[in-house]
Amino acid sequence: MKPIKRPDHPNRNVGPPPRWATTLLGWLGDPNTVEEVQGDLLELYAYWVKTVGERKARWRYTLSILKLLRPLAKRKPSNDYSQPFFLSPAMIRNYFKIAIRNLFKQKVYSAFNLVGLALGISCGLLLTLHIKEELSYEKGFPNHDRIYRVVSTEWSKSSPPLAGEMKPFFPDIEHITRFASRGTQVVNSEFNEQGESTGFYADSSAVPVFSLKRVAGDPVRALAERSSIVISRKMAEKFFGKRDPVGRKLIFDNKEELRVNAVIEELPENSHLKFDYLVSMPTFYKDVPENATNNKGWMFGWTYVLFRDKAGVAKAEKRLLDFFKQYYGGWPKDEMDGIMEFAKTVRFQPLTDIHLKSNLIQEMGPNSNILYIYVFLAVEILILVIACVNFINLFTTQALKRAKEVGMRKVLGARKMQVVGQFLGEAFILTILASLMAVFLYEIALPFYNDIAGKQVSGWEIARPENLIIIGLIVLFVGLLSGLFPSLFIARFEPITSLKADKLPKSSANALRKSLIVVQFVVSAFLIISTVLIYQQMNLLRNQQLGFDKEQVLVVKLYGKLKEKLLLNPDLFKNEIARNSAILAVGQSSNLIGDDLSVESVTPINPPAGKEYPSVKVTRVDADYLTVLNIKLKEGRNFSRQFNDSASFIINEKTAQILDLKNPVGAFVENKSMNLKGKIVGVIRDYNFASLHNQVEPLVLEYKPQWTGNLLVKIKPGNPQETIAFLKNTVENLAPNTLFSYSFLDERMAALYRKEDHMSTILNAFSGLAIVISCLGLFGVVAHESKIRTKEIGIRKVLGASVGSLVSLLSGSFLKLVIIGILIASPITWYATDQWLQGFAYKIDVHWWIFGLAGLVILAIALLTVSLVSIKAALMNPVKSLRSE
Amino acid sequence: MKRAFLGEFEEVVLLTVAVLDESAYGVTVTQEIEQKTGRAVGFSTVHTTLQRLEEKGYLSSKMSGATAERGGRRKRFFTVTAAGRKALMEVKSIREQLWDALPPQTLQLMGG
Repeated sequence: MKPIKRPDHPNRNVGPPPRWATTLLGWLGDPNTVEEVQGDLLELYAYWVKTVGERKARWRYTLSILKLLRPLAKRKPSNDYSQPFFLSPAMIRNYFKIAIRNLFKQKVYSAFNLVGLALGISCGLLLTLHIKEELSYEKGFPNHDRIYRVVSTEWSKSSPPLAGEMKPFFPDIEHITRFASRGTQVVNSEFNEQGESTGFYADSSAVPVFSLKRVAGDPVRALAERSSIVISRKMAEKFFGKRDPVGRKLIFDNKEELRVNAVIEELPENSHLKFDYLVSMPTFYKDVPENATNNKGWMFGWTYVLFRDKAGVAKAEKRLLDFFKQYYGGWPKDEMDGIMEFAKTVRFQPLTDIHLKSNLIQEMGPNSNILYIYVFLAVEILILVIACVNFINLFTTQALKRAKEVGMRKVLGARKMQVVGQFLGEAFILTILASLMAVFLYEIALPFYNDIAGKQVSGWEIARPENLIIIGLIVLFVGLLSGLFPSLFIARFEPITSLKADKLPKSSANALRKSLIVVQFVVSAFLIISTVLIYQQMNLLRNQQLGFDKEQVLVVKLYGKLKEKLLLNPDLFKNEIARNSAILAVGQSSNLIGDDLSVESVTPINPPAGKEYPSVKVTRVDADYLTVLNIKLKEGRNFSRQFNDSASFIINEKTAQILDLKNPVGAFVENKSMNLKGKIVGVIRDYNFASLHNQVEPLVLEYKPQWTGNLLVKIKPGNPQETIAFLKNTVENLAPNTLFSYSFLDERMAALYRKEDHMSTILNAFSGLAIVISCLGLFGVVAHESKIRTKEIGIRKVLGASVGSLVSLLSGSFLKLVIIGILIASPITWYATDQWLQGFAYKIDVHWWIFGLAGLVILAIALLTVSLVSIKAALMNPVKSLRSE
Repeated sequence: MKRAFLGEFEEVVLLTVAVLDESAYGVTVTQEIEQKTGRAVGFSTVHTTLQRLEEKGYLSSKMSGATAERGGRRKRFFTVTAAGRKALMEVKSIREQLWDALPPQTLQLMGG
């Protein structure tokens, strides 16, 4: 069909001009005139079609365009309107003025917003500094990245000759040094100063490895001489005051006399290595028999290696097995397989891994766990997210009210980016204000935090440059996260709608606010439910049937003269104090509950060939030990003074099981580590002598009152102070000038779970905060909602709605969100806590009612928050609310 | 005295803009010249000349009057500025002087 020609609109009926030419013009035409040229050409094309025909028109059209291509033309700056510099001081002043006016116009919202954010940021600060401190362990040593500890998969210690033979074998090793424990001892100076100090035996190479800084004397020479000691500056001040300590004597446990040859600077606080003094290794070699110091199977102490460079570690690790073949070369052939099995597990452990990633047998002290860092990091991020979400909610609500302002700004020529900048700037002003408040809150909270976390963070710590950078980063993160969305959202407002509308732009913002509330309550519910579960687990640990009685047991450490005199005739002293009616029983033991026990090899005599027995833990006790702790005998008898029990054993059920003893009582066994053969006289029920992280392990008790170092005193409940004073007096009479050092067994046991306790307390505090922040946000949003619906509520009231129905109307929709949040959080929490509980041998059952209960509590708090606002709204006089505009 | 340099075509375009008064833009100018002079002028030539005259300050322009026929694009309307008027007057007076200087018999010869 031929197109009908309509002269008025010719281009509707004929084909369009060549499209490629039009496109070409769009690309390569002069950008300054392209609009009118395109228009003119279209118009002309229509005219040409009319006058000279379509074919010619197309030709002319194309030709004109080709002539008009200006491929190098650039857009000239338009000067239709003057565009003032967008950061002009006048505008900035205006932004500040408006920001401050808004802040004061809505005091309640601003306060909520600021407080919520400040709480969040101060939590963030605390946790960041905590994590930073945990991660800073060992970083104070200049060589920290080249220092490694020789460990196996099980043991943190190694044998005495190892270091000496390792050094020549590995050319990459610069220095190698050993530390052997001396424990805590009573020290006396020549000037009658007395105190408890803890230290190690150490090689002189400890000085270069750990970069020990000399204060006086020569620490290297001091650690190479016999009976010589290097003390820390603090210890020097304690024992010698202002006097020069070098050359003076210190007496340890009233028997060992050592000469102070050097003083060194304190070690960095953040280190697993903690000591007051170092005694030279030659002293150790002087005191310990040669067959022990040459024993390649004795895990005597910790060996640290300083490599020349980091690359040397991998090279050395490859040759480790060759080294051990040479090291254990002289050992009996039949034991070789076992030894090599062990040698395969030996590795170099980075110094920096010790604090967070190492939990081996006989560590120098309790280490932390990387898991807790993750937990704290997660809590920090969650709380910051809650606070940001809050901020987003309140800020968006606020900004919606300012739609008219945005419209007016746009009409007056503000660009989108300017509006975004303005609101983002306001968000940053609020964030900065909040972080100032947060620093203040942080300073207030720090003492409490130090207390519950067992840390020593100073308040000035925060002023250090790197911490200021952290604050800056938190402000940047929070400001961007919470300000970016609302500002982008607001900047999108169409000026016309926002100026005209009585109704504010709704849509996505509403849905978003609701989903943000759900997110907040997912996080809060997660934190609260897991806190409850952790609390339960901690309670279980505290009240678990331990198999012995830890209450009212006083532990007195035996030192020097006291130990000497007491061990000479224990019964004399025991009878003496037992005359006090408040003292029920007195026992002795080498180790306490929770201590790392000696690991020895105890087997039946003449075991079947090829049969291997796992090693057992051994404690030396006296006849009253079981009585004091009220440990029940399953069969057989207790140790007794009536018998010669020096070669008798009492074992626990677990040992009987691993030794395959059908009738343990009367069976003969051998302690190979001690070369002691004897008879089992009794079997005790398994009791938890270590922490409840582990199952009960095999335990053997030996009757060796002479080897004990602790006095266990069972006292009557009532007045412990009096009893302690009495004990102190008696000890004073027996051994004058001895330090009386005591503790309570249950307190010592609580220390076993201190890590978890700290975590539990911190989580308690922070999950409480999380719900507070969430509720602040909820409060703000509900208040906004009821304000918008003021008129609706008024009308409903006029038409006869009751206060109750209005409250449920207002609260219902929000409580629904809270319930959704709890429902989402429950399975996540269940999974997470289940993972955590895997780390315990004794754990709680996770019941569904815990979730229900915690959910109800959260719901109740939310209900309280919501009803605070909604009741107020519902009680309002309808006359007022209908009149309000 | 600064003299106006107007090329012949420039003069025609400037005059045409003046003639069209309020409704002078690319298309009308092109069509007007075509009709009045009877010679086929390319749109591109007219457009370039208009741009040049604006640069010289003889024309000013503003955008308005979008129509559907133009695909919603605005027109650039040109008006003669004071400088433009002055330049036209000058050209005219030069021409007139020249014509006046022409001896009458020559004029008659040409006319004949």
